[in-house]
Amino acid sequence: MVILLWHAGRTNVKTITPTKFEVIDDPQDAFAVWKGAAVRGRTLYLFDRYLEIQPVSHAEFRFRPEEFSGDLTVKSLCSAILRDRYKIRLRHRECGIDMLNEILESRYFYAAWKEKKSLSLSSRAKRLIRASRGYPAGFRTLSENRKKVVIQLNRLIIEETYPLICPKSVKYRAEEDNYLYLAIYEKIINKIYHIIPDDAWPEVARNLSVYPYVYFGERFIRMAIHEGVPLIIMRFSDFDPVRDPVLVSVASDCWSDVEMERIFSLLSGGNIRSDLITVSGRQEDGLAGKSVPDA
Amino acid sequence: MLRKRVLWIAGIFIFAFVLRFWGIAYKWHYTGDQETIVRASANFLRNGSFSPDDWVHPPMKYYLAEASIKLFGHNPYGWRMKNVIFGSLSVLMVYLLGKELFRDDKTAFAASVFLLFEPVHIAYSRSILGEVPSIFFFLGAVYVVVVYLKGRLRSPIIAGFCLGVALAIKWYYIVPCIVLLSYFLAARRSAGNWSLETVLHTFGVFVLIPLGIYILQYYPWMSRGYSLGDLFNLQIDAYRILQAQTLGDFSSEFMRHSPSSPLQWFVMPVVYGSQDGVAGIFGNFVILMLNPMVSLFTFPAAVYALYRSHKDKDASLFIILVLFLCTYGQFAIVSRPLLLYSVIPVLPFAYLLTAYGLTAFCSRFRNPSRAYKWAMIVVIIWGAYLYPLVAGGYVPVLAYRPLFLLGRVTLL
Repeated sequence: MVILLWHAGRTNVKTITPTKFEVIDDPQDAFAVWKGAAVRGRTLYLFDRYLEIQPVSHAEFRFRPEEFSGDLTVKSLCSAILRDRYKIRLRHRECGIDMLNEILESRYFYAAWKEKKSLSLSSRAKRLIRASRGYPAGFRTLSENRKKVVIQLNRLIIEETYPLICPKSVKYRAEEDNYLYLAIYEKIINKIYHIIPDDAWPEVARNLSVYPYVYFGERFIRMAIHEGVPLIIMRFSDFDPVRDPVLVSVASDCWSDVEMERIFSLLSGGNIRSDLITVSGRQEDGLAGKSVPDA
Repeated sequence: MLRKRVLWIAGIFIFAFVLRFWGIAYKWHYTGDQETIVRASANFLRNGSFSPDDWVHPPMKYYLAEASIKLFGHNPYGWRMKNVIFGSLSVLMVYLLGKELFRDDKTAFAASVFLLFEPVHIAYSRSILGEVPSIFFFLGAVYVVVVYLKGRLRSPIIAGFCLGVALAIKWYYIVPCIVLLSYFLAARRSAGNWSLETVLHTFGVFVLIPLGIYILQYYPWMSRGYSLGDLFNLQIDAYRILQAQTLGDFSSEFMRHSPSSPLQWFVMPVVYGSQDGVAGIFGNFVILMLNPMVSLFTFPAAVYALYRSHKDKDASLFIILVLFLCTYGQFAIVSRPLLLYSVIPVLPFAYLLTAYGLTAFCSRFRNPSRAYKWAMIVVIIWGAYLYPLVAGGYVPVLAYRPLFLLGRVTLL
């Protein structure tokens, strides 16, 4: 049993060779880099003053004009829906984004759609149908979460009914406040070491001291966040790298030149074994051309 | 004799099942925590992710929920049937355990009837929460140990599996497990059955098997790249978060205002709820309550049991008393708020004691059998009165107003 569990833990952690070094515009762009590299189950060293991990997707299921491009047009989608003559009342008479979004807010759209169509919906749509079954009739009286469920359901129904003329909504959008949560959700990250500038330590310790479940060690602060992922916060001067290959993300705006040199020397000297390094901020040009060994 | 026993057992289970099954699909949509746990079950088994549920509780409940959905379908039956079945089996388990521990059938029958009609047990036997299956497995472990010590089983290994599943649903079985182990060791020692083989066997059943089940349940999570060391740290982190929980952490406003102190459970009537629907003079309700006719006699019965177990040197009575004290005691001393469903693992032992007290009380009458019969008739009539209210059926509101006055029930 122990061997089975050890094997389960180890075999999913694969490293990239050669080591990749990416310069990015914003910290949240690291998520796209990690996803593109298909890394999973990794420890992250985050060199940043700030850390925000909101469990939000920033997914937007309402139709937006910028979604329609090329062969996808608002008019063709709108016309196709109107041709099917669903029995729902709409305030907007003209084909356009407003009409499409009004359909998304209709509590009766699914029932009207069922009368006309016999398509088998995806499991995601079925789940939303089940979830919304007990909701009261009016859209405006629903809570914000329930409104999102109704909008997402109607959007999925339209996407699946008109797959060739309806743009696909995205499950999530990475922003600065949620890209780490998305990385956890996508199983990219299992553990986070948040290395902060020494002068940020008193403020961080003060802010976290109000939470009784936060553990204050001698040279670190430890807590568990979403999905039980351990978050260990350390001062840069106390930083002690682990041996396993890790992801590294550096927000260079937070660090002085001397500190950036030290970060880089830890990487190039092999003290931090990393196969995927992302750097954002003002100093990224200075790091271009430098090399780090393979993890 | 055997046929009569089988009929009794079947009858108790069927009756308990009918009471818990009736109307479970009346609300053909998610209620309570069902959506969260159903989604988390699929997510955990496929991806090792606890989302959208909290990660602080062990994941065994996800396996049980998925098994129920596979058997009964992705619908209200699938979401709720596992608790209907385990809840009904718990009632049966109380009867069987009572029969093994006490010399007469009356105590066993009375205890099973108390649990059969217990409102909070009925309510949560129609939900998805893990408390109901967990107590079934723990009762199963106790029953197997008792039967094994009486020499009717070759090995108590099934108890190890039952303990493992119970612990893998809820941590609060750790202390009762230790109590059960102590009872087992004391019984083996007093029987002169104390060898290295016994010790190793006991260690395997009570430690290795439960620990193995507990750790193995995290296999999907560990497949995300976590080690055994990470698993250990996860338990420490989860414990810290659970100890820091407040009422504000519960997402439902209804539950946030519900009774949250275990000190109230057996000393005063606990009745809480709100009206859900209106139809003329009738209404249906969401009710959380303990049966005051039974629960208020638990402490006096426990005191009496303590006296008798000491006087008669009755180990069977003593173990039930200790199991009641340790399951209830750990809730009574913990500082975080505990909602009423946390009483479920205490109830079987509480009601075995109450039933013992009842039969002892009836034995003082000139005609003990008749006294017992009348007591059971009153309990059953009272239980039948409570049942439609607790099961969410439409009831005449006026007929239940006196009961509502005992607690806090909001009317429309």
